[in-house]
Amino acid sequence: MAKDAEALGPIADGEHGAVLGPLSDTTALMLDYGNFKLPPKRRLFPQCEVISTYADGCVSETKQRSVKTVLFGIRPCDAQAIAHLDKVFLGDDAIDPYYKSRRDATLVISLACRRPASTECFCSSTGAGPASKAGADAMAWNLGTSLLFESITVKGEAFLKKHAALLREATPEELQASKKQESATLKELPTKSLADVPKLLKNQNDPAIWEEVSSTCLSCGACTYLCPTCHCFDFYDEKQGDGARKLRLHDACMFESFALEASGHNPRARASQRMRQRVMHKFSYAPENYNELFCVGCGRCIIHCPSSIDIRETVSKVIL
Amino acid sequence: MQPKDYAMQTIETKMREAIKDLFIHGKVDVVIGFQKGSRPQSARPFFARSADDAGKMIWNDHCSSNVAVFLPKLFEKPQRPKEGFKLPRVGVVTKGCDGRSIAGLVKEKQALRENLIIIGMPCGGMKPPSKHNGKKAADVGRACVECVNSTTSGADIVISGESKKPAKGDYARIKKFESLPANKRWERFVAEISKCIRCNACRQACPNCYCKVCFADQKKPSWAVPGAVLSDTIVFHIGRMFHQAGRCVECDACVNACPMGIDLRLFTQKLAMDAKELFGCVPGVTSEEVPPLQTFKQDDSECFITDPEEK
Amino acid sequence: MPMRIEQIRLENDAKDLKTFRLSFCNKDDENGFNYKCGQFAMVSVPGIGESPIGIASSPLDKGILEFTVKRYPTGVVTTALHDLSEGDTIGVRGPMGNSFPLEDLMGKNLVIVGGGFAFTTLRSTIRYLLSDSQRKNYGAVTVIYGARSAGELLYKNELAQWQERSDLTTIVTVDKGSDSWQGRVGLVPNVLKESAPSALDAYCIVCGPPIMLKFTMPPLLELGFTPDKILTSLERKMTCGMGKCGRCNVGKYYVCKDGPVFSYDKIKDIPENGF
Repeated sequence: MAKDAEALGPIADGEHGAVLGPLSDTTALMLDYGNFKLPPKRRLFPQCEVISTYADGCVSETKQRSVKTVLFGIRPCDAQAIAHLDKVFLGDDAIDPYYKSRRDATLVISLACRRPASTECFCSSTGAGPASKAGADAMAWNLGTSLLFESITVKGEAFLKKHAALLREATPEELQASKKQESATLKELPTKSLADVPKLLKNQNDPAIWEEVSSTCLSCGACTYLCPTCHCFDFYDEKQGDGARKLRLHDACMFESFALEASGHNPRARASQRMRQRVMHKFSYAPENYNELFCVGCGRCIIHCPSSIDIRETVSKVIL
Repeated sequence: MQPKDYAMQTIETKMREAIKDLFIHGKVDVVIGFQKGSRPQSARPFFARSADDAGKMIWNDHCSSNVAVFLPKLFEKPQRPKEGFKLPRVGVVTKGCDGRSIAGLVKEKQALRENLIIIGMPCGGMKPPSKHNGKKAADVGRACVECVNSTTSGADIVISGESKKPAKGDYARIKKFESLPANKRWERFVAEISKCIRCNACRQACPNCYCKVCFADQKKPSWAVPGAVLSDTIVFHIGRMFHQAGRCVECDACVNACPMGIDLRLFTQKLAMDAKELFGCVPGVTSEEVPPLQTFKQDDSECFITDPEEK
Repeated sequence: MPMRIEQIRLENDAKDLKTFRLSFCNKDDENGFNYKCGQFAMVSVPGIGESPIGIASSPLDKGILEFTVKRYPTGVVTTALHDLSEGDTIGVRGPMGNSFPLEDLMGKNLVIVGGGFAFTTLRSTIRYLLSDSQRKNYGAVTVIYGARSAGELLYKNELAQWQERSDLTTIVTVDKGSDSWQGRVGLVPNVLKESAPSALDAYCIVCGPPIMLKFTMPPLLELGFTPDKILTSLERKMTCGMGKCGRCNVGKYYVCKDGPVFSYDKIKDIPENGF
């Protein structure tokens, strides 16, 4: 795999448990991991990239020379999030060439979950799941003694065929085992579905409830930057010698100055308005615009919020 | 029930009673404390607004957040105050570190002492939040191990109980790090700061970072790109730490907030140590009128200018 | 695309509003830039940044583009633009957004209400409506435009010309009068109430700061304009201008892509509509 593409997968990291890092003959693959702290979206939508440069009166878009990449072993929730981002960046209205070139060059092989990564997992509620297929080209199951692969897309099928020499046909027992693994994991996950939430949020206009659920929000961007589906960004122009360059950077709607205008007017001046924006974007606007809940239940925002605000609780409090 | 749990329970009950009392007698509009978190074995900040809410408040060794961080916004006067506008009366449940932060905020006019009712709690040390998959969650946070004053002086209501004994306060870890050659220290600094994703959790969790527009967000001039560009990230952290000199109460709110587990304490404590050893300033404890960054004395040490490698 | 600043006109006494007349540096760009009234573009200064500005010229004004830009002290781009001179080159990315649905409004009477420096795309619309080729396609046109004071009125020469014309009614007002001002004094919502344009077979296009929109909607509704017949143009801070960066939304709508033109019924129930 590593021969003709850059292969990335879960490798051990003393501090963070497992990180999505380069695989080689010498790195130890860590198949039995919870989930990465940082979402894999960062490989397709980096935190900082130069999108154009300006020199001699001319603007030139950065040439995309995307390296063929295999994202191996990412969790199904994170793969589903990539499918969501595809809807934003590869939509009919306008295609993001920077995202597209990386996306086209990337093969996603997700790794089904043997157990929930944390007590904060709720993929089953968001239409994702421990073995959901959206966003992945192929899926792998860690059955203990063997690794089961299943192709999902044409691209995934082609990949598995290419490496057929390393694979053999799965036995019926192995196929059974993968199904058992999925149902066993589902038993440990919440059964309540959030599919109805968009409908229940539609007329929630009471400012008091939003004040209550955001009272301890610090307006940092931890939830946003760790979220696999969040995609807000900003441009930053800087001079470079006689020329200039334009960067695209991640941004967060939770920051106070996110929508602040030069006039001083801030349409979302209060933390409650920003919290409402976050929840509505994920659970109301995105479902209307892209027909998807923009939350895959990975639990990162719950684990890392400095005030331990729990989006599951927030949603259950604000729905009518 | 273990003796420790029982002791905690009694403290918790006494705290709830005191807060209920404040609401019943109309002495406060809101009390900031802690409630049970949704994650197992966790607590999180909570705004109680009634006597009933008081019954939901808890006190245990998961109450690690610095709740003073909420005060500057609560005491913000609106640009065009409505008729009859009054600042809220706020109760705060405090550990030693929260109390030191509050003392600093009052001095910097970000909180109004007469509108505060400080409920000083006994603190035996807090567990940091468990979110770093690789590292084993510490039993007690480093800030608590090294804490020199775990209770709030000048509290309006004192809830009695056993508090952690003061540590030596000798900054041993910092001094050990200082003894390393400069290039090794820089390497370590860069290694830590490289993990930063510029989420600003450290800044937002810090009670001292209340600037309306942080220098790192300024556009005219722009000091640092808001993205994770290493050179600019270094500017952000160095700038933020130096803005804390003589003000940082070493509470580890920034360390606990950081999702990437950056060892900010290794650097923030250096400045706290310098403030103490060079200028005799321990924020929130010494009652100096003017903080060291805003004044000077003829006999101030200048060693960091003339001899950076030596004291 | 690069554009050359041909002319800079100072619009107000406070000297913070300038109209930039731009020409296309490349002929191909000119042929490719087809815009409609109400659209905006991202105007940029290299190395400084971009800012979304409504197009103030009419699509029938060939070969040029006009933008009226207000300089904000905290505005990095607007300040840089104001520091430029005639002959300098700037960047323009666009046209962006939707437009006033003028084809659908043919045959209708139009009431155009503007406040402050939100009048820019309305000026584009009025120039278009008054053109020889277009005037006959529309019914009665009424313009009500107000600014805080006489010195803050935009396009003073054009306003005077329009007041001379018989094929439209132009009412110009100021919030606060002065010795030199001979015209109407009164807030736009009040002047609207007093002049009471007919809502019969009419649409209203209203643009202004959020506070003006808030107080102008009730009299409009009272005059009989239904929410679907009131069109407005919203403003938000923008980055990409094409509905990807998640910044400029009002509810589920992106002001850059689903707007900036919205009919009032579409946005009146969205809490963060700004008014």
